Amino acid sequence: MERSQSAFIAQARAALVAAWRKVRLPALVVALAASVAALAALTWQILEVRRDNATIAALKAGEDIPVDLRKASDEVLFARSEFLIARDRREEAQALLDASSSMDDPKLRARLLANHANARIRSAIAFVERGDQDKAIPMTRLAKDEYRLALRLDPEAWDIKYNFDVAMRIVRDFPGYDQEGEDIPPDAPKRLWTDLPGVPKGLP
Amino acid sequence: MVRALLAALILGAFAQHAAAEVRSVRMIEPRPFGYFLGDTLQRTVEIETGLEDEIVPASLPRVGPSNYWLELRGIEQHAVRRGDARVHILKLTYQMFYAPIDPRKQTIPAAEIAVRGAGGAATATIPAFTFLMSPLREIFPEKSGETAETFLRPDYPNGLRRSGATRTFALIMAALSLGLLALLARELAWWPFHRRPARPFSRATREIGRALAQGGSEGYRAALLALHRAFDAAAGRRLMAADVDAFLGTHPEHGDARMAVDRFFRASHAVFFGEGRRSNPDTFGAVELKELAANLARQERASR
Repeated sequence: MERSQSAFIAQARAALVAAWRKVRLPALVVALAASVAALAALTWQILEVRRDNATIAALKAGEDIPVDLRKASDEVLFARSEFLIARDRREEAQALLDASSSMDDPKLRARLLANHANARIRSAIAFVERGDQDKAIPMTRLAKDEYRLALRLDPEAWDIKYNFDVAMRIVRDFPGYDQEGEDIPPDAPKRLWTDLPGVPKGLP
Repeated sequence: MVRALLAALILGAFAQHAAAEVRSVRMIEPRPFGYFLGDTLQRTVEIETGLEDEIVPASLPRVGPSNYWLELRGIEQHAVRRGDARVHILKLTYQMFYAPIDPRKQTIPAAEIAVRGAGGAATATIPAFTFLMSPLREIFPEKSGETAETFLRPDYPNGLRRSGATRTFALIMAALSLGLLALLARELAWWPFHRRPARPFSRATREIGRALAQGGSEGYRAALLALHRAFDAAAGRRLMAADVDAFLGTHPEHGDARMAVDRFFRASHAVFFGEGRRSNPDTFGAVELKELAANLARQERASR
């Protein structure tokens, strides 16, 4: 009984080994082809990263490199947006912002939005300093929308919270011009808050 | 009388069973203090209902802005059975966009959720939640020569793309490819495994191809010799035509090629020692020789 069992096991093992020898060559060829294909794809990716990094470095150095908004990687979009913001090319920056919804990394998109909003707040403050509040208010509202969207994407980003708070005090959110809500303070929507640099009169 | 009472009781029981039934609403609330602008909080609602009852999806709070400072970011919903009851668990995630100047109470308003049963509906009430929101900055920030630059937190710097993980993965794949290539070379007796003792016929196949490519009777002779050497190596001694039977007995994997092997030995004898080589040069042609060697190589691969 025992002997026949061990004989059976030996037979099964021999059959398995024979079967393996038969498929060994095709299996090796297929595995090698697959791993070489994977290697090629990964190498291509690495080269792409290098190309992108070269573009980012060039943008940082001040070269005006056009970027395909639909195909560029997140980091290249970010670098291009920095370039445009720094040179005050608002319309192109806005087009880039509109295209940023296709970005994969929500945190990076939040940062992109926040940097745009920061630029708007800086110019809003400049308008206020010049006493041009009619221009400062819509600018600040746009910035607030962007901060809000940025915080939706990354609720833990402290710097965005802080700058949003600054923007909120330039033009407060009040119930009423958005939706239903409590009482509308009489001086609500157009009041500029008083902690702006260059607006010292407002101190209570 | 008694019968009527019983019937009434049974009817009553049925009626009670048929209507939807909200047995309890349990709230698991987060801390009610310490929230800043842009923070999120998650409330968990556990509504215990009758077994067949369902929550009416349209009665759930709508995802999106609830009012000017509050947004419902998402609802996760699932139900579990607990005894003879069904517990519907709702996880509501809110995000607050209120920028308080001093610590301030805010309230998420109460909401009603409809529960539908086989024979009616009931409502479950999610109570209001009041919590304290805190400011991020002083009420009156110090004015000490601030400019727009110091007023805001700085912009986020841009970074380069990283390819560390991809590189590691590519290195692993390169190592794997090399390993597989080495295994393949060993299997097919390529360099540096070309002298592998277990693959004499694989080697012979290559040598025959090279020899025949030279052409002429010299090349043909060299090809024959190469196959002879392979037979010698496989047998472990010099193999003559008379030994073929013994060789095939100890190497059963080559049994299928017996006819061709016999013809090869006869043809080779004729070429090297016989007279009939001119009269009958095509007994064992170059193509056949190649085929035989490839066949033997395949057989030796399948056996070792």
